Order: sequence, then structure tokens, then C-alpha cells
Amino acid sequence: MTRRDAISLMLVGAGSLFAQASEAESQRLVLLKVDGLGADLLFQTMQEINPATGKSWCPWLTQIFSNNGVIFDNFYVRGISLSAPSWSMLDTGRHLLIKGNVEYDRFTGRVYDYLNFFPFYLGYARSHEVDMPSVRVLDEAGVRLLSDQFTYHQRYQSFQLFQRGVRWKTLQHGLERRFSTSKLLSLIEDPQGGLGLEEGLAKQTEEELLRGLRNPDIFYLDLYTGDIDHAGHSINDPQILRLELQKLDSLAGKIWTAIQASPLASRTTFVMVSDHGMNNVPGIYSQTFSIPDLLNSPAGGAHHVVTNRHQLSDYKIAGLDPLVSRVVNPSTASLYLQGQANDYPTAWLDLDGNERAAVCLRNSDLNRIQILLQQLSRTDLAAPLRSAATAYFRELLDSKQHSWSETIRELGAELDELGRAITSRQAELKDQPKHWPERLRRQGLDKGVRRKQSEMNSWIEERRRYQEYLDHLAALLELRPDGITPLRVGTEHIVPPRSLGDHNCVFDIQNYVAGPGPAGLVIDERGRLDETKSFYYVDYFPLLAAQTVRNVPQREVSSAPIDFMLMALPPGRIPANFADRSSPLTQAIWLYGDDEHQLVELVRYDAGEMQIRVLPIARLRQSKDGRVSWNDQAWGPGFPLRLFEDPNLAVPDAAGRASWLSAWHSEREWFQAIHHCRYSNGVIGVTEHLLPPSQSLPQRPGINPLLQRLELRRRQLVQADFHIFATDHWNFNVRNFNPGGNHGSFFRISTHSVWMMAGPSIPRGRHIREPHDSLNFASTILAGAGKQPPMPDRVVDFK
Amino acid sequence: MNRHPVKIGIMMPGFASSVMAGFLLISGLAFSADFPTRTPASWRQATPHTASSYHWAITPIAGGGAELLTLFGRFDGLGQLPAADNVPLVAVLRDTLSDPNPDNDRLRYVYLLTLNRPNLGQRVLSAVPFFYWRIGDGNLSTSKNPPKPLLDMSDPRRHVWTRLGHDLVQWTTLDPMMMPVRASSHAYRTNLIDHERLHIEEALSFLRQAPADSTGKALTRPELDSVIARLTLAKNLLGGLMNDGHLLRVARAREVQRTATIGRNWELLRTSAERAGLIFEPLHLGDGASQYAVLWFPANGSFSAPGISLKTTWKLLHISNPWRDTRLNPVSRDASAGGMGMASGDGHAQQVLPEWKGYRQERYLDASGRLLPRGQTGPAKVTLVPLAVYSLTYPRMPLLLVDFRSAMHTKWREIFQRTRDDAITGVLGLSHFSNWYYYAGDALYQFIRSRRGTAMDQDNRLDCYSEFRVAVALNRSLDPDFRQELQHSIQMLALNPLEASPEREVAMARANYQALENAAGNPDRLPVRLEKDRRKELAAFGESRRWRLAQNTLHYMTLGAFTARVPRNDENDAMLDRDRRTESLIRYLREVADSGVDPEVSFDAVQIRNSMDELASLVDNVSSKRMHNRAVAVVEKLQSEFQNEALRANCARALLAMNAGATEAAAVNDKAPKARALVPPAISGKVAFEAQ
Repeated sequence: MTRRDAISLMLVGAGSLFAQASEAESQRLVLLKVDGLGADLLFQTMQEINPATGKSWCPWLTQIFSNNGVIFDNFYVRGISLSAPSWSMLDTGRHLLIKGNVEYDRFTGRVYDYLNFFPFYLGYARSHEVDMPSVRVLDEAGVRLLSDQFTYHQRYQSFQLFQRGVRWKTLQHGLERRFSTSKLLSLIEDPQGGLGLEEGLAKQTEEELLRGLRNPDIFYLDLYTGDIDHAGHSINDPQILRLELQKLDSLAGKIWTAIQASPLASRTTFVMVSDHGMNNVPGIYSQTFSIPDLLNSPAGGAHHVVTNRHQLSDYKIAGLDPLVSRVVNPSTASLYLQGQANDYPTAWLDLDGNERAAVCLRNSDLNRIQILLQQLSRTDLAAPLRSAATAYFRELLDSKQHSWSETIRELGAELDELGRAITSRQAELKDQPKHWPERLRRQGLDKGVRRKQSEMNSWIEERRRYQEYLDHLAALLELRPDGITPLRVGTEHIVPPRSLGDHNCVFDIQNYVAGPGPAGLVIDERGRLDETKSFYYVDYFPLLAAQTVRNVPQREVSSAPIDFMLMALPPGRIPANFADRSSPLTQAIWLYGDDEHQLVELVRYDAGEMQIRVLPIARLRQSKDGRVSWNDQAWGPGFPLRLFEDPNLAVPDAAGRASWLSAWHSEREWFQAIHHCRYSNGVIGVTEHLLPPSQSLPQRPGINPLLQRLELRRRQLVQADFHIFATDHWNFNVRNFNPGGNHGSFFRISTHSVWMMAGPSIPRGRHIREPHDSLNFASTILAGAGKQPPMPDRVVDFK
Repeated sequence: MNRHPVKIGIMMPGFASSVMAGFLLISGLAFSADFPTRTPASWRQATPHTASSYHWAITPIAGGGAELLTLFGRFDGLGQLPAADNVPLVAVLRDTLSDPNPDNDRLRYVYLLTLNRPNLGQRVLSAVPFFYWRIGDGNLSTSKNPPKPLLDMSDPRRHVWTRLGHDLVQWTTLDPMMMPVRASSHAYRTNLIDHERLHIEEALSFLRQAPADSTGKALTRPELDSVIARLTLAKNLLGGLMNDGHLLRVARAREVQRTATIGRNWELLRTSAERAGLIFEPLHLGDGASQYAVLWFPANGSFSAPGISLKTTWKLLHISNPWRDTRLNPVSRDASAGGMGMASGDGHAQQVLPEWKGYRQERYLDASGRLLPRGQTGPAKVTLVPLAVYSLTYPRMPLLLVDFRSAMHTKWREIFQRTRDDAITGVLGLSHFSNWYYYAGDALYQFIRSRRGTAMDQDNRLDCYSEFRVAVALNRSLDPDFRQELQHSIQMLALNPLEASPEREVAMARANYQALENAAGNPDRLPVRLEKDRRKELAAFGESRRWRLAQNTLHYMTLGAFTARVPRNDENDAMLDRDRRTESLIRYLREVADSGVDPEVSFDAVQIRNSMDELASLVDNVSSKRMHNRAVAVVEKLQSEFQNEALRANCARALLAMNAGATEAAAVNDKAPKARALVPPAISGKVAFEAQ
């Protein structure tokens, strides 16, 4: 059977499955979402026997899923093993649009802080917000949540990252539990025990879920718990983690028992899923490497660094402020931006990076422009130097003319359309009631209106800030120094503040302008500005790869904290011999270990099927004109992802693994070959993580093309320049040290997650050994529930 | 935070100068007492590491029915003791009723064998306000009497009432008196409470490392956890009021907190060391994860951190920048050069740090610059000077315990805070009640300071100090000269006149153990006390909180003359066995019932069935209606939770048996005799009310 036949069969099967489900009664879905639960930890605990009872340490999970349901033995996160991206895929069944726990708009500096609940609660209380920031992003992109497939009164959703609305009553009752007489007495007896507010809320949510199960009108219920994740980050003691698992087991037992007693017992599917695992090994502390410190240093570019939280070691009272989403960490050695940290932070980091960090740097040419403007504002600049610098400046602006003009034109058109949308929305909302009757509130209509109001407010602010950016760009393009008179002091502020500008390409990252040269501007023998000597450059990837740490007292931990870097390459610039006209490359990805150990991963589609090829290379460079070149390498140990030397690489012919690795293979073939490897499905994960938004953003029917384009631009503007992945047992946290363990990488221990199902329509006692990933999840369970799967080709037919 | 609320007293200005003069005089004396002449430690080669280990030994009580479990620690070559000797540390009396059934075992007294009773001189000094020194090493004399129990597991509330009673006396009687009386009584109380807390933490530090098993040769894990929980709660004023049912939860929560704190502080200190160009090394002073760490200064290196402000790092580390210390980093060396240099070749050791007279170590680095363990050689040699030792168990930040460059650094911190507190409560007499605004402001001030990186919590600091002093005293794996340095620093930290040196305490342990063994073997000592406590337990079985409160009130109002006990009877042991097993069974079945619906999934059905049957048979003979009702309630709850028909039927049978017994019990209770007085023996001077 050819691949095409297999795909066709799968599609037909999925279609028929879907059709059958549609005809049958709708199924009720009950989801237990467990953040940070690693499959290895759970399965091992389920198998071990508690000597006191003679039963499994997790008897309920064993009973429900192992004996009476389906367990996906090899279920993995697709992409990086981080909460916000991972839950976004699990909750939507779509390719990633959210790629980090925090993202920044390069043009406006807008912070998308997906993990911070407090601003959302405050906004909700003030009727400004309705949904968590992550949900708003998906709404703007036209991506539906899993729960959106059910009507407002058919669903019960607990507090979680991808949350719609806030149930104040739950919070209220949860707090009241903690302020009972017995709890207060307990606090007096044991003040260190605290009030346990989180526990109270969890208990209240649990009760509401169990109550909701008795209601035959509710067809979707979920309960999210982050307890395992919190415990795993702090502690790696197996006994303590087992206690947490026992609590989870007990919770699953209560839910299952309530399902059996509910009126819809014969139509309910109980699902347990986790978003990622945890790199948590007994006896080994996870160690932190500070990327802000490196970027603050002159060697790292002397950046003023933006993070979304205060660093813990700063010990600031301001660190307690739950509304903070943007913190500037100034460099004391800034080469040209001393005292301007708040206006010109040039490196923005996703700090909750765990085992990985996303790095956004200001466009290298903007740095160059600002340096030149500073120099041209000096009154003591020698005439030949001024002339040379002015000429260089003009050439630089000329090189930007086309792209910036295009940006101004296109974004300007999008903003105009946005303006019309704002006007239209204002008219629509003008006559909406300020106070809603209970009947309509119960249908969620008030929230629908508030959602639109919130979106409109966001548009207004966004329009203003994008316009501001465009004004700066336009002003820059119009700036023509005469080369004789110094520019007015402060002219450099024409460079857009709190903005990073366009993305940096590989050439920029390899020749990043971090400041003026040691001798300032220098002219060459031809009287032109000597570009090489006039600026201070940083080549980031070798710099990062060479980092070592002295204080590594744990012998098991390497002194090199950085494993590899990841960056997208322009597919159109890959050497022609790797591209095929009939199947052009859709993605090209660069993985950098060191100068001699790099990988290029190429992606194409052949007859609608994704194919991947991985090549070992060395010394990849991008020239100024954009061409990418490298030296070919032979497969051997030491390349990123460590595929060649991994004993668990399951290729058909073990002797020919080098040739296998370098050949084109389908996603499925790769998955089956690598999922047991140390880096699990990393080869697929990198393609997902760097998937261009143009390929993941769905086309919204009926939307104005300009607004669709604006949405695409938003998603493109939050893409990082490059990503850094930590070596095993290292992390990049600088706020909440997580010595117990971390996640975010492609290590199997971090990506191997949990997916288990049980119910009348689910086979009993089955273990699915075929590897699957988070893109399969939502489509499979929605199809089983008689709903439209977002990606029918991802439905797993395990019946 | 002040612990002792006082009322406003009368300030006598004329007295203040006298106090100050006295303070200076005593300080001078203490200074000379507490600061022995030191000779610089000579540098020696590392000694081989010897590990310590803990084990339990069992001593039966005369007359049987109970056993003394003593935790020993094995510390090679310990001071005056023979090499590889065992030191008795903590003893726990387990009341077993002479049978192998663990369900009727109860823990009673917990003894800290390293406890050194203060002598009269120490007590007098502890009543002197603003006197913050330990004179000498402690009480030299040994007593034939065993040490007082640190905790009575069967009556944890007694400690609460005792302390509340003392506080009441302080507030109502002593505080309104003259300022000298108020100040000295406060000083004494504070020192006494700190002394007690110090020893509780000492006991906890031993017990945390104690092994546990269910063979009967050691405390079981739940028993050990309950002792740890009770001791931990004993540090809180009202902690003794917590019910036994919550102990395991408290123990687990504390363990989780502690483990998380250690990990977090470990990493915080390591990253701070990395930022500041220092070398971080965990310090293993006991079994398990290291709770301490030392920061070293690499003498023959240089450091710069351009781009980063280290202000907050030095603040967190609470030490002055060593790179600017000319004793460590002579001015002639160019400190602005980047990178970390490494020593090259021998002969540099003597030339490096000519002005540093303190301890130093020659160590080696591996090829990537990592410090190798002591005793291992590597490609690069480095001379290390210890800067500081930190405890990793202090909440939220590593706690500076020893500053090698400033002997009095940590002591001044303690003195300053104590002086302030003593002045507020003892001298000025500010009360928590009438001057609440001061304390509210103080709490806010302390909160802000602590969030900004200052270790403000005195109690937690005391706990860290307590653990550290004992850990150093018992450790033999450290380099002896380094250990001597640490011991000297610990001496400096001793603030409490009631305290004895850790070495003295360890030396006293054997004598205390011997005295305890003698008391256990003497039928007129420990067995008598045990017998009385058993009768008290019988009297309290199944009684309500109100009854207990009334009995406790009477007991304290009569200054201990009244204690409710059942009369001596040959059947007492059997009754106790029945009562305890009933309690244990109810607790177990309650745990099963609280697990939720279908408990048979999580628990062994046979064990549940057997437990219910046994409970039904025992409850028949239980005199307490309350216990009977509790037994019925728990079985009824189980019946509603079980899905399994056989188990539900079991529940029904048990309920039937219990309800039949209830009818008889009601008839018996109506005829139950009331308690009446018994003439006390002349020797004890106490009055006991016992039912005939």
C-alpha cells in the first residue's frame, strides 16, 4: 500500500467515523487536564504496588484507564514542551499560533503574557475583559477552542490558561471555605500552614464539577490542575511526588464515580490529558543560567533586556506586583544607550522559558542607524568622518527604502481597515444594554458583547501604537542629513522607542551591531566609512555555544548550559540542489550546536504529505544578499538532537542510519523512528515550533482580507529571532527557580505526556503503542463526541 | 517579631544610665569570656571522610508494657569519646502494652539526651536584660535524674497551658511592676523560650535523619512523622492544640516546604556565587541533601562583571564585596581585568594573600574550571579562602551563619534585633493590646525588609543556628582546621546565657542516657509515671473537648493537685488495649471513608472487613457513648460509600452488632460511678480523683 493509499484510507475512515458519530447521540466529554504530568512518572507509579494496600499506588487510574479504557503509551507534545503553546494545541487541535508563555509585538512592544491571571481577573472585574489573553489571541485568529464546540450553557470550564470568563461564585465559595472556623483555628495552631487558598479553590471547583455532572444539560466539563506541575518544579523527591499523584488518583476516582452515577453515564467519555512532562530526576537540582546577565554584558551586546517579571535576585517589592508584565533590566555597560534603558531596550526575552528561551533582538540595522544618528549629532566630528558617515547613513536608509515603504503602505492600509472596523463596532455596540437581565446573562450574551467591546478597545490601542511606529519609520525615511551640519541633539529619538523593528536574519545574528567600534567611527583609505571597524559586532550562536559555568557542583550536570540554538532560514535562499521544483521547500530550519556540528532541517509537501529531511552541516553562513551556504558534514555523534548516536533510533536498517537520516521521510516515518530517542519527536517538534504563521493561521471565512492580513502580521511580529535550548538539567528561569525540574525542551522526559480515555464508547484495556502527538488530541475526542474535528486527518481511529 | 506582650510600665530615667553602665561592664566581661585568643589555623591536608549513620536501640521498661527507643548517631572519632563511638541523641517511650499489635501502641515521652540543664549561675545571667553572651561551656555537673521530657506526645496541650499560664503571670503580675522587674522577667522568659526552641530544633534535626521501619526495631514512619509534627507544632504557642488526626498532614507539608526551600536556596546561592565570581560548594554535615553551603574566594584570580549591577547580589549574600577587600585582593592586583585567573604551579600559595591570616585551602579545578572535591587533584590549583557559610533551610533566602572576615557580623545582627525587642517590651513596656499600632507598623516594616532580602525572622534564624551548631559538633568529615573555624564562629553566635556548648551537650548525652535507662529499669521511677499516665488516658477516653478543658482547668487551678484518673485495677491494661484499638480502628476506617466513593478500589477489602468486624466486637465493651457513636457514624458513612454489596452487608452486620451493644452500654452507663477524691500519698503532694 502506498502512502497515498494510506492517507486516503485514513481520511475515509475518519470521515465515516465522523459521520457515524454525527448520527449517534452527542457524547458528553469530561476532561481532567493535568499540567506537567509526565507519562513516565505516572505509568511507573501506576505499576508499583503500595505494600499497605496491596494495590497500585494509583488504584483509580489503574481501574479507570488501564483496566477499562485506553492509554496512549507514546503521546508527545508537538513542539516545545511549554504550557501555553501546548495547551493551545490541545485545546484547539490546530497548529501552533502561540509559541511561548509570553510573546512581544516587535513593532509596538505589546506584551502577550499568557500565564498571568491577575490582570485578567482585574480586567474582568472591571468588565474590560472576558477571556484570558491566550483565548483572545485565538479568537482574533479565528481559532475555536475545544469547548466552543458546545454552547454556553452546555459547558462547565474550570480556571485554566485557556479560560473563558470568570465564575466569581467559585472564587467566593472557595475563599469562604478557607475562612471557616475550623480553618482559622488550624491557622492559629499552625501559622506556617497558611490558609491554603488554592486548596480551597480546587475543592470548590471539584464540587462544582461533580454537581455539573448531575446536570444532563451539560455536555462539556473540564477540570484543570497545576499541582503536579508546581510540585515537580520545586521538588524531585519521588515520595513527595507520589503523594501528589495519589491526590490526583483520588480526584479521578471521584469524577469517575460521579460520571457512573450521572444521567448521561452511557454517553460520557472521561479523558485525562497532560500538556507536557517534567525533567525531574531524583537527586539532581536543575540549575539556572542567566541569559539576561549574558546579554547585559558587553560580550553579549550590552543590551538593556526586557523580561516579563522582575528577577528574583533583585529582591524588589515591585516583584510582588502581580500586574507587572514588562520589566527592563538595564545594562551598566551599555555601549551607546546609557540611561536610555526604558526607551530603548534592545533584547526581549521570554523569561518563563524553563528549558528553552525565546530571544528577540532589536533589528541590527536600527542599532546601526541609532549609532550613526548619535555620531552625526556630535559637534566635534571631523568633516571627512561626518561626510563618510552621512553617505553610509543614506545608503543604509536607501537599502531600507523598499521594505519600509512596503510596510508603511501595507500596514497603513490594514490600519485604515481596522479603523473602519472600529467605527463599525462602535455603532454595533452603541445600543447594547448596560445591565443585562439574568435570563440573557445565563445564555452568555452579555459576555459576547463584552468580548466585542474588549476587542474594539484593543484595536483602538493597537491602531494608535502601530501608527506611531509607522510615523517613526516614515520620519526616518525622510531624514536626509546634509553631511555638513550636526544633527540636532535628540534626533536619534526618531528611532522608534520600545520597539525592535523588523526581524533579524541569519546574517544579522552572525554580524549583530551591538555598539560603536572601540575607536568610534573609522574611515578607510577610500574615505568611506569602514563598516568593520566602525561598529562592534557580536556573532551570537558561537558566543552562546561557548558559555560555560564554573559553579557546577553536581557531577552529573555539564558545565556547558546551552545545548543548541534554533532559527528559521528563508526556504527560498537554500542552495538550489536541495530544493525541488515540483515540491518546493516550505520550511528550512537551522540547528546550531557549534561551528562544526549543525543541522539543517528541510520541509516540503509531496502530494499533500509533509516530508522532512535532516542534513548534518558545518559553518552555515548567510551573506549580505541573503544567500545561505554551508559545508556538508558526515553524520556522527555530537550533532544537535544527538540522533546518530542514539541507541533508540529505530531505523529499518540500523547499519544505514546515516543514509536514512539524510533522506526524505514522512512525518509518520520520522515519528516512529525517533520517538524513543532522547530528544523524542524533536525533528517534528522544531518544524511545528518554527511553522510560519502563514501556514498555521486559518483563513477566516467572511473576514476582510486586510484584517486577515493584519492578523497574520500580528502573529508574525511575535515570532522570536531565535531560540535557545538548555542542556540537560539546566534552565533559564531567573524569577522562580525551579530546582526540582523543568520542561520546554524536546527531551523525551519533558515531552512524553499523558492521554488516557475511558467510557462506554471507548475500548477497554487497550494500550495504543503507536506514537501520537498533541495535534491528534482535540480532533480525536471531538470526533468521538460527534462534533466537527478541526483537522479530520488527525483523528486517531483506535476502535 | 516580639513574642511577649506587656503592659506599659513606669520608665525610670535615672535607672537607665545605671543599666547602660552595667551593660558595658558585663559586655566587657563577656567579651573577654567569649573571645578566647585565637591562633591562626594552620593549613593541613584533608582528612579522610567518614560518614555518620543513625540507628535505634530498644530498652524495655521495668515491669514490661513499654520500651524506650533511643536514637543513636555513629560519629567516628568524636572528641573525648572513643573512636567510632555511638552517641545517644533522642529517646522516645513507646507504650506497647507488651504485645506485638502495633494498633495499641502509643508514643509518650520524647527526651533530648543532649540536653544540658542550666545551672543557677546561668539562670541568673539569663535574667539580666541586654546580656547576650554565653559564659563558659555550660553546666558541668551531671544528674542522677533523667532529663525532663521535651514533649509528652499523649498530652501535647499541657505545654500550651503551661506557656499560656506563664504568659498570663507575666502580663498580669510582672509587667505592671517596676521596669527592672519587667525587663528582667522578660529577659528570662525570652531566654527560656529560645532555649527550649533551640533544643526542639536540635531534636528535630536528629529525628529527620532517623531511619524508620515497621519491624518493631525502630519507630515506624507514621510514628516518626507524628513525633516530628508534634515537635514542630510545639514551637508555636498554640500548636499543641492540634488534633492527632492532622499530624501526618502537617509533617508532610513541612517536609515539602523544607525540601523546596533547600532546593531553591541552593540554586539562589549558587547563581549568586556565579554572578559574583565566587565559588559555591555544598557543605555536607549530615546524611541526606546538604543543608549548608560555603562560599569560597579564589585567591589567585580576578573578576569583573561588566554590564551587571551586583548591588542586590551582595545584599543577598550579606557580605561585603571580597574583591574590594585588600586582605584578599591587594590593591596592586588589577581587579578590572576580565575573566577568572587560575594559579599556575606550586610556590604561589605562600605568596598569595600575604595579608590574610585566616584559614585557607589549597584545592584543584578540573579542565572546565569546576571545583574538585577535597582530596582530588586536577589540572589547575587554586587557593581558596572561605568567605561565608549559609544555611539553606531559612525560608526564602540563604541565611548567613558565618562570615569569616567579620567574626561579629552575624552576632551584631542578632544583638541589634534582640536589643530592640527587649527595649520595646522590657524597658518601654509597649503592649500588643494597647500599643497595637506600633506592632502593626513593625510587622509592615519587617515584611518589607524581608521581601528586600533581609532575614528578619528571629525564630527561623534560631532554628537554623540550632541545627548548624549540632551538625558541626557531630561532623567528622570536614577538614579539622576548617571545623575548628566553624566552631569558633558558632561560639560567637551564642547569645543565650542558658545555652551550653554543643561539645558539652554531646558529652552529657551518655550521662543523660544512663540516667534515663536507670529510671526505666527502676520500677519506682518511669514505670510509676507511665502507670499514672495510662490511668489518666483511660479516664479521658472518649470524653468531649469540653470535659478535657474542664479537667485541664481544674488541674492548673489546683496547681497540679487535681488530675482525673481511673483507679488502679488489674483490668486497666486490658481496657487500655481495647480503647486504643478502638481508636486506631476508627481512625483507619475514617481514612477509608474520607477517600470518597468506592473505597474498596483504593484499599484492601479484606482489611476493611476485618477492621469493621473487630471494631464491632470491641465497641460492645466500650463505656464511652461518644466513641460508640463515632464508631457507628464511620461505619454508616462507609456503608453509603461502598458499591460492593458484600461490603455493604458487612457494614450492616457491624452496625447491628454495635447497636445491640449500644443498648446494653446505655444501661451500663446509667449506673457508671462518678469520680470521687482519693487521699493523696504524702510524698507526691498531688491529689488524684479516680473512679472506683
